[in-house]
Amino acid sequence: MKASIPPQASRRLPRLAGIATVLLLIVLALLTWLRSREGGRRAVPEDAAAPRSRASVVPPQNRASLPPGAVTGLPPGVVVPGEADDPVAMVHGNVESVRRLMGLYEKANRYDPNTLRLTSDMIDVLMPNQFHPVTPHFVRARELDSGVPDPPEERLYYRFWTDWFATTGAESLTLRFSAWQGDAEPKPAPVQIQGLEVFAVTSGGDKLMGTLSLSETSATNIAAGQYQVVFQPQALTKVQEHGYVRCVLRFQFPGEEPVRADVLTHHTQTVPARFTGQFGELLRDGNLVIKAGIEVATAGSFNLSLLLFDGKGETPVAYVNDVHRLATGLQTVDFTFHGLVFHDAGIPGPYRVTVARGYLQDDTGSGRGPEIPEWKGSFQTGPYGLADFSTAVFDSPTKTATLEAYRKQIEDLERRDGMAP
Amino acid sequence: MKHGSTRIIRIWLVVLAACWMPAMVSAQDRFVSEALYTEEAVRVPVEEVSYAFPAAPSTPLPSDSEFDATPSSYLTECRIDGMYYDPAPPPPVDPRCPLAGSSYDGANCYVATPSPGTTAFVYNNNLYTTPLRNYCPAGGYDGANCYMYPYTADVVSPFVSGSNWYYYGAYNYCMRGTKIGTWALTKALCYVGTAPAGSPGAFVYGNAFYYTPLVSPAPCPKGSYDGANCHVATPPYGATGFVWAGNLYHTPYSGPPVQLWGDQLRYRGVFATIYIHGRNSAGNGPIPGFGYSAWANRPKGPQPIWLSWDSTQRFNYSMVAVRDNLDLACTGPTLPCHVVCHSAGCQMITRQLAENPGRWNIASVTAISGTQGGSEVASLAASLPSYIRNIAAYLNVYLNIDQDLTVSAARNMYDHNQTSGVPIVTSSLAWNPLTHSESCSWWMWVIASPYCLGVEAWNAVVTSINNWYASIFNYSGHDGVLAYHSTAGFKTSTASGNACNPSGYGYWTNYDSVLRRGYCYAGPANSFHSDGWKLLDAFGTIPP
Repeated sequence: MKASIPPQASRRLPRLAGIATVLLLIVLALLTWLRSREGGRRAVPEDAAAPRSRASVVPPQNRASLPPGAVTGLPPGVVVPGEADDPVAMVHGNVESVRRLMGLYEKANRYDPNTLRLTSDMIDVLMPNQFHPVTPHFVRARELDSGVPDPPEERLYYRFWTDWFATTGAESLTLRFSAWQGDAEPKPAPVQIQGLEVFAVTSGGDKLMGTLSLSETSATNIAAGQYQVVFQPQALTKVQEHGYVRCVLRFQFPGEEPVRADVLTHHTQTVPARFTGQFGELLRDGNLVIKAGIEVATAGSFNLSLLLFDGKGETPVAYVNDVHRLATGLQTVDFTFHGLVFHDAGIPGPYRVTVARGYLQDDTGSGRGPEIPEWKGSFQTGPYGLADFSTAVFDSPTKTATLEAYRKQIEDLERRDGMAP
Repeated sequence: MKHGSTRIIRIWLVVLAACWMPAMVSAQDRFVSEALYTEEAVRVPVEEVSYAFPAAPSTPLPSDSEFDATPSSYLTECRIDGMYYDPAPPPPVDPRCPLAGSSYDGANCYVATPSPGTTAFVYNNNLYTTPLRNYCPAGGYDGANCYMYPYTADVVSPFVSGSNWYYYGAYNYCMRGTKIGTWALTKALCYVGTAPAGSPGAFVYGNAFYYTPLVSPAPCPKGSYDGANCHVATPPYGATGFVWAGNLYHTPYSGPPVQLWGDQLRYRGVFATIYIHGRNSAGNGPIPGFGYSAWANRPKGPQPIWLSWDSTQRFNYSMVAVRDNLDLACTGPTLPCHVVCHSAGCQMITRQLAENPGRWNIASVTAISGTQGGSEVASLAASLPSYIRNIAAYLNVYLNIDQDLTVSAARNMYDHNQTSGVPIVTSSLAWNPLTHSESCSWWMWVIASPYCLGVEAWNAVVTSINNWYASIFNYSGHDGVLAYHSTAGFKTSTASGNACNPSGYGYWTNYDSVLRRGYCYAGPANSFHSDGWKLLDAFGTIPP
């Protein structure tokens, strides 16, 4: 339980209190900084501070075919230095951990790396491009002065957000702002809106694209935004082809310090490609191949996804995410669905393509590369039965070698633990 | 009296941002002014080299053997940029037997024959010989032992006790040594002498007193003396050393080591553990080595290798460099890797996997406090007023990468379900709210009012920080920078008190958590975001 400052003391020393607070904040900041640095230093044991040579790490032994009479042990009578602690051996002495991880690896490689099972709970795939708002508690001056937080019903909050994270071309964006008081039963809180500016985030700093004005919808419309504005990023001053857009709102709770809140989104001014909406299909080696038409304006590596549902377009089945290097012009790209995924889903054809999306993997811009407008429509495949699809688990030289490396690691640990036969 | 409440919040934002991702420990300070990878000595063959194998290998060399590979684009870039690059061809060694002086005998690698007077043995899979013992500080070396004294005429029965020589004499005095007693009533028991210190022992042989020679001043004709024996060689990683017909051998392995950045070697055929660090709060670029405070200079796992990147800039800035490095270290069947990442390093590796499916041979990613789901602190750090942001940028507190770390940016940057067949094992840390100091009683205000003012000021700050944290993380568990929805791989930015409550939407595909093993754990308590080493200590690089 905290006590407030006795009135006589705060009357006597208001100036000192302010100075002491500022000084203490500086000291606390320094202490916090030093603590974060010392955390690392404390973590370094003396014996580990020096770089450990590779030779000091005991290499695992593989399955060797030794000649008859070979000796790998220590002959009797030979004196050796004391065995040092081996952190590697201590940490990796758990065979079960490696076995578990190997199981995860096998599970993760059940299909080829581009085919993924799609389920109804995968909302980040089914409903991508979400904006995730953060709602900070605004600390009033009186709370800091007294050291006592406001009761929950009097606390101030604000939220500045939008519906989508990314826009392309002429798409519009709705900015929303609410300010309220109270946790359980929020009530509108008065604010003074001072300005709303939109900037392009560039490597050379933020560059102004334009200014906007928020309109009040309803003071009680906290959930959807007491203030809103709809705008097209494309309609503002063009600064770059694609990248982050920062919307900066300046406002003030009456009698409090002004606040500056940001919303960061992504905008693609000129789209690098478009799906044409033309699709084809074929069966290849027990896998379903969907061919999608795409018109490319900017050549490069495209990260593309195609979502497949059941025949009614209701139950998600699988999706393919793959990278294609595409030249400019009209062309088709193949989306290969690993046959086993249909058996695992237990859903026979026909299937329905409802969404295709992607972006250009451009390492020069900010955030992800420029977006392709999402294609939404319907393309139905032929009436495939599950027997049409392969039941083979994905296999590749790399997967085989990695599993072998896992086995080798397990054998080594077992040998070290004396568990090997 | 009005105080700037939001100003103090902003100041704390700056402070928190400063604490954000771990700073380098001072051991790394020397790298402050060094550019990325400027000191790497990378060797690649510039012309095809033919190797004379004593016998045909039983299995063909892997197709991705570096002997067949062309220099990577990274190396090309090094040459274009005029960076240090040594085009010297590799030494003509058999890739199966890379130790100097060793050779392939058709089945295994012959390493060395012990010098006369020494014996080969294997200890801890290292190849050794016993040291040369031919040093006789007293007496003379007879080619095998140290000859000390011949028997005198009065020796009836010699014997040794410890390092001392004795004999039963025939008379009542000793013709050699000192009389120390009698036997048969009148005859002398004689002490002859003591073998020199350092000799393993004294003995009698034939008609003389001997001792075992001391270790020679030059004890190792082959190898180096470790204080007890001669270390001849350590077999390549993954190969087994053995002794056959008195000689030292090791089993062959699948290829020579790959030279990586920072003079690091990566052996083939077995796992390497690649460490990818997070945001560099010091603001000075990449963090080479293992000094990153989440690693705390204690890398674990087979073949630990650090991979640094400029984590002050946006991810795009380093995507190509990281990709090229992974191409060198983790491509193809003979170069399997485990990856250990922390914080923004996890966003880097998972984005690489999502945008390069099937490219690498990565068996697992151990993600410690990863930012894949973004940070609410970063979301608000972007809301700092411009004058604060400018100051913060000057102090390297507000970095360009922070924009990629906001919750929306991180979650929309790539498809987190596309892990390229790599299981992502996450682990989280649990930050506890700050505690208030005990307030002063009235008499303490009388005798120590400045102290009490400090206590009250501190408590006010504690209150504001705790309230602020509770609000931005929606009363969810967090590590001071990241909530569980990010570090545990939730599909949504849902609030949760532990790593097991993703609001019915589950986790990203192929995401596992060490904190979901039958029970739901919150992670090590009282652990800040940068305390990743606690998880490494607790679980290792392959969590249970």
